[in-house]
Amino acid sequence: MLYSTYGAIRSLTRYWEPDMVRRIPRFVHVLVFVGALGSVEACAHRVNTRFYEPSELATLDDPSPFLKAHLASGHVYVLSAWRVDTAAGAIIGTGQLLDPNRAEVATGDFTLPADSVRLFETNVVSQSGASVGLTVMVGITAAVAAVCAANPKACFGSCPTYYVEDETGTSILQAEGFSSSIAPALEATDVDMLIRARPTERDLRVRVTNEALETHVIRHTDVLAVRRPAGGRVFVTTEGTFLGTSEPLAPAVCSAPEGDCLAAVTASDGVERFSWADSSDLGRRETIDLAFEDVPDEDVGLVLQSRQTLMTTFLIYQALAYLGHEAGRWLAAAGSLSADERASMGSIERLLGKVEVLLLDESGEWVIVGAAGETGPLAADTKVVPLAERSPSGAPLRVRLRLTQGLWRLDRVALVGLGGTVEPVRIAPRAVRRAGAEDPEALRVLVDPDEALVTLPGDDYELEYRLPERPEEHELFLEARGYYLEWMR
Amino acid sequence: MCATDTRLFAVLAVLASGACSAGTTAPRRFLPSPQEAQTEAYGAWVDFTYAVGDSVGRFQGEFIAVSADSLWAVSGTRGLVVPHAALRSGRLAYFNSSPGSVGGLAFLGTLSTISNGAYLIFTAPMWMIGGAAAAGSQARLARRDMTPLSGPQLSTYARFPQGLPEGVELADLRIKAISQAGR
Repeated sequence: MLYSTYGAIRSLTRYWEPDMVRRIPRFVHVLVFVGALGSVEACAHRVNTRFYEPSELATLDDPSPFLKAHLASGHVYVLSAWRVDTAAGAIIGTGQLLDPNRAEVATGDFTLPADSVRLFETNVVSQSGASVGLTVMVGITAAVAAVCAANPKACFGSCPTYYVEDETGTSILQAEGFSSSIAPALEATDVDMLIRARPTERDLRVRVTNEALETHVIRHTDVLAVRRPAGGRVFVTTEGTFLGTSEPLAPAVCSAPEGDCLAAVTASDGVERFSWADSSDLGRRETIDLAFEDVPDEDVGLVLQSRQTLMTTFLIYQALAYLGHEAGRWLAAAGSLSADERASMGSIERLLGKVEVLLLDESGEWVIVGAAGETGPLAADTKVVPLAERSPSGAPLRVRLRLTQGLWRLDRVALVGLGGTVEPVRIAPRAVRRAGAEDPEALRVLVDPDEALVTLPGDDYELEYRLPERPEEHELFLEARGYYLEWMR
Repeated sequence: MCATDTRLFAVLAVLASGACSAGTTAPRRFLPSPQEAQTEAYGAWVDFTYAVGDSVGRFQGEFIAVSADSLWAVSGTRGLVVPHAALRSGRLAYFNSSPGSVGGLAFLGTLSTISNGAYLIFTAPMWMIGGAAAAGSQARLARRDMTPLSGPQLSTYARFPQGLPEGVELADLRIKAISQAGR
């Protein structure tokens, strides 16, 4: 059942992305559902047939656009624009006379004395019960879709979401905080690279929103700024070490089970490589083989920019569903679990795993040298995985990725030459605004390590940070710590 | 397409077409649409079995007329008069209620729940179950089981609801033209 439900949802959502519905203009939603209503109206009809004796002439059903007058001979008049002349005891109309084999005998205007007719027949077409049912379902679906379009994360997402302007000045989703921290016991720190932030002035504004039916408890949200090395970038490892690097080098070869995947992983452009989950084993792994040419003659690392599909979301919600009424008590009890017991709460993450990076060893075997990948289907996370081994100078470097089938969306894979460790400058917010007004209380709790900012659905804060001199020369990261509570949708 | 998706779409297809398969044996386009039924003057399509001595015969064709004791029908090749007492079972269809279109709409409705995010867990089954029920209901709209119906009830669906006219011979009657029926 679990697999079939997941399979159905996955099939319906293969081409769906969390913010896709929001990107579709609302008039398109309206058109789609108006079209659906129109289709229902057009196809689900019934015919209500009634017969009348000539003596019932005065009660003939007016709504019927046509009248059939059956004669004793087997002939039948089919009249349109008909009317009853009660005084004359006749029917007047325009149409045709058909013989018993329904061949046309005559056409034109006819006046039929009622007593010349054996039986009158009316047929009224109306909406069927199925039409009513379908209309109700269209209405329900449209209403839910409208709610989802107005507040997408109430339907599609979770976690605190962070919006920062990109190079064009457009505010875009660049980070999601502590996605797997669904209980106080799972409070965690999360570092996300603001890979598309291009600050041109020292004041950086970050919007943090609660767009889901959740309570977010944000302990802190700091910006980490690191000066880029000349001609290079700065990336962070999964362990939280910041490394200066050279400019990323795209792979020359990308080979996945479905074929060439080079176009999808070459640039950080939102075009992602992903696959379908296995139909019988959600934990089944797949491999992607990469090759890099012109590898710099220094220590190198693999940059992975990825996010998850909805598989983890589905499994977490399904697990909560299985807990039923016990879910709240179970989550509350998680705070008093032992370390081992608490570790078991991460079993989904362990079973599904991260994106493993493998290199060939001297014996020709693929060995794991690192892994990256953060929980969450919304914002892509960027990490660098240092490669402990490397090919002889001048030879292409072959790298294999091993990942759970259907779990990961890879936006970019690149090779970088690794420089030294660099220390970021931690910057706490210097102002917090809500609905355009200063909110000193929110600022106070965000900078006090013993306090936390608690947000509810619909909350929207603007955090302002003061970046170092020459902000355009800095790489920016967002460090958020906290947890969130599901409202058990 | 992987196995899971094949199963999903097979289920949807069965749900969508379930009503059609339980429908009628009428040739394609023999049955008028609801709008055409307002102006056409042919009988319903009948498919029934009847006793012939110790054996059972089956007849498919157009329903011509019914009286207190007999039923008349014609096919492309012959006419048949059957006493009510010999009628074993049968079903008639008198217009094309387009259950397939309703099933298709239900399929599209199921797909449209992609716009409902996590709530498609509720709305997709609603469409699958409700859509199948609607398609079934739509198919039943145009169908009648013949055996529980009395002569006057059956006459509603005959070419001659007033009864077989005097002077009209069954052998002279032709079923709704094949070309007209789109075959």
